[in-house]
Amino acid sequence: MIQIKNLNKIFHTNNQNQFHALKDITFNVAKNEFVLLSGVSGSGKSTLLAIIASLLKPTSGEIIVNHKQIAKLPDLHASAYRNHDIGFIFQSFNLFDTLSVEENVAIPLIPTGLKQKEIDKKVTKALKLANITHKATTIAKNLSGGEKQRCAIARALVNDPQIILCDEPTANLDKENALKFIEVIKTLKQKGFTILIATHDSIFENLHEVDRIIHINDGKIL
Amino acid sequence: MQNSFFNFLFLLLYKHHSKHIAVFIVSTLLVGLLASFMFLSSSIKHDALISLKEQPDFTIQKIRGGRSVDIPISLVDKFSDIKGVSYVAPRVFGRYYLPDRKHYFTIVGVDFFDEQLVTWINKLTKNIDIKTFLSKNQMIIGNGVKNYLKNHYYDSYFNFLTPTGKEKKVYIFDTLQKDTNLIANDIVLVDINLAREILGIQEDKATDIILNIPNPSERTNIKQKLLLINYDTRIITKDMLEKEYENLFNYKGGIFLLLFTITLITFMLILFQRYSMINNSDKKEIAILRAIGWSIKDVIKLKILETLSIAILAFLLGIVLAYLFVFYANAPLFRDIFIGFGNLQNSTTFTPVIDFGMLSSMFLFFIIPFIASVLIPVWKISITDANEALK
Repeated sequence: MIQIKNLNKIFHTNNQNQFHALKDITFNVAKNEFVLLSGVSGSGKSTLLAIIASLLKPTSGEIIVNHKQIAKLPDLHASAYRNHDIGFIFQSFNLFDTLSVEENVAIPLIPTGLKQKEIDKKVTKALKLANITHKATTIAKNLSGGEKQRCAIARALVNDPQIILCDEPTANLDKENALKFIEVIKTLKQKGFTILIATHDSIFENLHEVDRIIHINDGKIL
Repeated sequence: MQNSFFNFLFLLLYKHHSKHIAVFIVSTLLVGLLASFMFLSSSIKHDALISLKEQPDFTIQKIRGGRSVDIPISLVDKFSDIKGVSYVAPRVFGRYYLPDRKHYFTIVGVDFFDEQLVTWINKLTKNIDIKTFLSKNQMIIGNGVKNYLKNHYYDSYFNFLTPTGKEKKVYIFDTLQKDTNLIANDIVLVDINLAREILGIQEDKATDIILNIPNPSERTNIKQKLLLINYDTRIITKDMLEKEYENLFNYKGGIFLLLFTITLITFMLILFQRYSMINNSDKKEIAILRAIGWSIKDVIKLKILETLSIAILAFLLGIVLAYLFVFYANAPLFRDIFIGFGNLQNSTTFTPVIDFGMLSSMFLFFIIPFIASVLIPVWKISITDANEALK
């Protein structure tokens, strides 16, 4: 599903502040695999996730997702890839605070050209999957941390992506909400999603559903 | 474009209205200001050009030392003998300065036998009986004169002081209709002989002589003939008057347009700066959209439509407000710039005239820089890495 070969990311190239964030990373992720990218803050796991989501371009190396080279995709293709293949759950949720839950969840569908009716149908399905239907009309800024997280999950799922990427998903949650998140992730695993979570939270490490843990330190796989 | 895109656009506009309100208000005021001047200019020009149609083809003045002096009436017969001339009449008019030396009435002498003038008076009044009017020392006055007399003198008559120092008591016979205020606000129509007495014009003289030449192709030849017979005359043609009117209004409109352009450029620069220093929430908004699968094209499309909606709404509201301001409220403050502060207070109403060509140009001159000043900074943000903007 995901093949990463000799991936390097250098920030501020040819500059005094040059920083080698990822060094020669190579690994594969199979379909429906649940992979943890584990490491301390600044180890490079979030950068790796951003590159897989095509939010960042690697300095060198290859990423092949579903037989598509995504390392050097032009903007139009990269955004289509993000929109169709990837569901990204951010550490800080990145919701539109003034919009309601259902409005936030619908945003990724707007450029797809779907009719409003179809959008509403998909939104309802995603809200149900993320267990946030009861808050559909609540404005995002009035949600608790856990609810915001579930809203972000629904938004990530709304386009029926095959891959779910989560960047420090429990960093802004209390233990109770972190456990609820894990329950949702377990359901997603059962439903056949491929899941990559970048985290330094030990709560994930003993999960039965986790297929593999990749430890990253100083930009390298250990 | 699909409905959901517009639904989202209007949702964002509604939810973020406080962010756009200042730009919207300033834009509306700017458009309203320019449109008010345009409406005023078009309306006055329209009325002035209509009144010009009533003017004779040629107005002949006698010139001495570069100044206009009274012209002998004997020339009327001479001019009438010229082939192609259809109508010749002497006119007696002039300014009567009031004791404050700032305000004046425009005295116009009416000759009962001057058909053209009588027809014109009938148009300005409600078909009064000219014969009765001219039989006594009476006057028909414009609304500015009426108000001035009411406030400073008597409301039924006025004592004119002739150049010989004699007082001439003239009673108000009627007042001109209000819609003539633009051209006849300070006018006092009196019998031609009474006008001579008040203005000190001799019986065998007139202020000028007017004539009509029905065939336009004859006008140049007749003008040359007239100048040959009377080397010391000045001939003012209707075309010259028309050009003078055009220049006057275009000049005033031009000065305003210049001021507007400067204001508009300043506003666009402020707008550009506002979006260049786009705040973190705006930046994050764009970054979120990019991160969840919106392309640069989609983001720019959203921002263009967002800006366009604000600009079009501000433009339409500005135009409607300007229309109400000019044609319903009679443009307080602004009208003095166009019709002058100089003489008697004018309470003219403006004929609604809309120049759609001018409105279209104004729309383009407003919308294009408006969009550009927002779009360039937005595009710059859109092309930066969404991941960076999300941090």
